[in-house]
Formats: sequence, C-alpha cells, structure tokens
Amino acid sequence: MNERVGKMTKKEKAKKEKAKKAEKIEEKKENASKAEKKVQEKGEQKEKKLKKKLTEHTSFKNLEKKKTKKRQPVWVKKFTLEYEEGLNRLQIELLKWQKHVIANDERVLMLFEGRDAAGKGGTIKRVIEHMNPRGARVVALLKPSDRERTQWYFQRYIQQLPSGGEIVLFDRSWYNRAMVEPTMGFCTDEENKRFLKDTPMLEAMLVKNGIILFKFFFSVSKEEQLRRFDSRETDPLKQYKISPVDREAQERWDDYTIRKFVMLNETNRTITPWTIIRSDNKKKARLNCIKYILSKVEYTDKVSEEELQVDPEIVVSGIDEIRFMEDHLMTAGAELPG
Amino acid sequence: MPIKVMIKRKWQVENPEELYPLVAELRAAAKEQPGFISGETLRSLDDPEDFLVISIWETAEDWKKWIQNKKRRDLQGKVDSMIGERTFYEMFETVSME
Repeated sequence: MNERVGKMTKKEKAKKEKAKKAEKIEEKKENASKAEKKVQEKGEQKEKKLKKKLTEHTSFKNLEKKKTKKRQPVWVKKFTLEYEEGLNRLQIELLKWQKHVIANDERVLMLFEGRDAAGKGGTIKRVIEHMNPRGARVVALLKPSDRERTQWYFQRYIQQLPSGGEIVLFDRSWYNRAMVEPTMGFCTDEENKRFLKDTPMLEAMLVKNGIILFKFFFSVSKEEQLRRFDSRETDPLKQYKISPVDREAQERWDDYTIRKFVMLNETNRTITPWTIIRSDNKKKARLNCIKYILSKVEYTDKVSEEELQVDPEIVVSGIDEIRFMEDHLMTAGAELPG
Repeated sequence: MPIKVMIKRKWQVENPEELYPLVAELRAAAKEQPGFISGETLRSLDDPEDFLVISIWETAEDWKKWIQNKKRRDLQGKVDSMIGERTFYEMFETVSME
C-alpha cells in the first residue's frame, strides 16, 4: 500500500511537474501575447497620434471660433498660425495671378529641383492647392520607357510644355541629367556634358518665345535629409515617398554637391536664372518660394511689394550660390549648402 | 604669341549706375597687369543687351595670373551678382591661314 502510495506520489509528482511546465509555457505565451498587444497598442497610439495631426489651414480657420459644448480648445504653435494665415493670403494672390495668366494666354513653366526630401513636392502642392485645375498641372515623369530612351533627351519634357493660359509645374525636370543620372551612373559623362551645353540654349529659346520660366533648387542639409528619410519610414502617410535610392543620396552626398555646383555654373544665365530655396524649414521655404514667384509676375490687384519681400536667408540667387560654393568648395571642413 | 580673350556679358540689370563703375574699375586694374596689351568692348547689333569684350594679352600665362588675382575675383564676383550669371571667357590664338 505504502509502495502504491509511493508510486502514486511519484506519478502525482510527475503530473504536477508536467502541469507546472505547461503552466509556465502558458504563462510565457500569455506574456508574449501581452507584449505583442502592448506593441500593437503603441503602434495604434502612434497611428492615432498621426491621425490627430491637424490638417493644414484648420487652426487658422478656427482661430476666432468660441468654446461651445461641441468644441474644445487645441494648442498649436504660434508659428503654425502665422504660417497658415500667410499661406492663405499668398494662395489668394496665386489665384489672382492665375486669372491674369488665363486672361492673357500667358505660358508659365516652373522647374522644381533639389535633392531627395528637399521639400519640392510639398511646395508644389501648396502652389497648386487652390488654383483652377484647368489652367494648372503638375508634371512628374517616371523613368523613360524603352521607346522614350530612343528619342531626343528633351523630347518627353517638350511635350509637356505649357499652352496659352497654363501654369505647368515640373516636379523634377530635364535636370535629372545634371545630378541624379550622372551620380547614379544612369547616363554617360558625354551625355551629361552635352546636356549642360545644350540646356542654356534650349531654355533661352523657351524664354525668348515668351514662356515665363522659374527654376527652383531646393537646398536641404544632410542632417535634415536624414531626419526626413527616417520620418518616411515611420510615418504611414509618407511611405509612398520611400525610394530605394534614398540611402544612396546620403552616401553620395558630396558627389551630388559637386554635380550641383557644375549644374549651377553651366546653366545659370541672366535670362534663365536659378533660385535657391533653403528648405530645412519646410514652412518658411514654401512661403518664401510663393512670395518669390508672385514678386516676379504682374497681375491686377496685386498686394504691396513689402508683403512679397522674401527672406534673404531662405531665397538665394543662383549666382550668389555659385560664388559661395566656389569660395568654399576647396576649403577643408567647410560646410556647403545641400 | 599674344592671345585674345573673349569675355561675354549680358547687361540686363536693374541698376546700371551701380554696375558701370565696377566694370571701369575692373578694366583699370587689368591695364596695370604685366602682359596686358589692350581691351575693346563691343555691343551686339542683334541683341543690345549682349556685350563682348576682347582682351589681348602677351601670353596665356599673363591672362591666367590675372584671372586668379584676388582683387579681380572680388570685383568680378560683384559684377556677376548684379548681372545674374557668371562671366564666360574663351581664349583664342591667331592662326595663319596662308
């Protein structure tokens, strides 16, 4: 009996141990799922936080609204309010200008160039946001097709030039052949050199034919570019902007700088000048870019010159950028603008 | 053998009264340089904003020394800023066609 009891006890012990093990496994599983849940919750919170981001213009629009049972106050930066107010005023001016462009059959072409994540797309979006879509369009061409590759390099861009009454914004342009293509090895040295020689002549033809041409180069610092790449990876709303060559843009930063210098040097002309927009602060870059555009065109009921005065820290002429880069390109340790 | 330098400039400026003295100073400084022979300014009949300066130097080396001169670079920089583009130079030598 005792023996039996003893045997039973052994069995029981084994059972107990088995049960304990199972319990531990269960506990581990539970902990893992709890941790997973936590991560998920955190992610959701992050997503929720992103969703809560106020849409542009919201804070300014609601500035004068009073507290009611259905309304609650939200804290925003003063600069955000200033920005939204300024943007609103400038967008009204852009619309007045567009009316003039349409009425006079003018043709406007704006080229937006710059490194990845420099803020070109965001500025284009604000320029075009409230314009009449019938007279304004954005051109962002994909890499050339096999058929296009057999054509004259400028051909596919020429097809997109503005007709009378149109404002066309190029989100990257023929200048791909000046920076991205040679840096990434997508064109030969000969093709790059040919391009730099031909472009001033082509642009002079466009301007002499009556096209109003703006050439913007958005200049971002290396640190800010990295910050924006990181943000693209974490922000679900910016995922579409991620490109496999993003990291290469950082690794080949200095190559791009030299290409930029050569490009400015060869293609900055009095009648087709470059305008550099310092874009580490996106909002300031957008406002100043729009101010610059408006300050250079004529239209009825235009605001005063003072209101369109650009910040010289943000807007730099192509020739001044060339001079600055020329003076510092060979200086060891000198930080050149991006 | 003397060399001829073609300097192309576009004079499309808002305030020419500020530009003229700078160009005059540039020319006066060039005249003092060793190897400088002469300079002549021509205006395009097709486009009155286009100017061409023909600068003649004893040797290419003389011209190169002048182009690297700090004072010239500073003055040139100011001129370029006002004109809005860099000045383009091309060196030529006389060839006998006989």
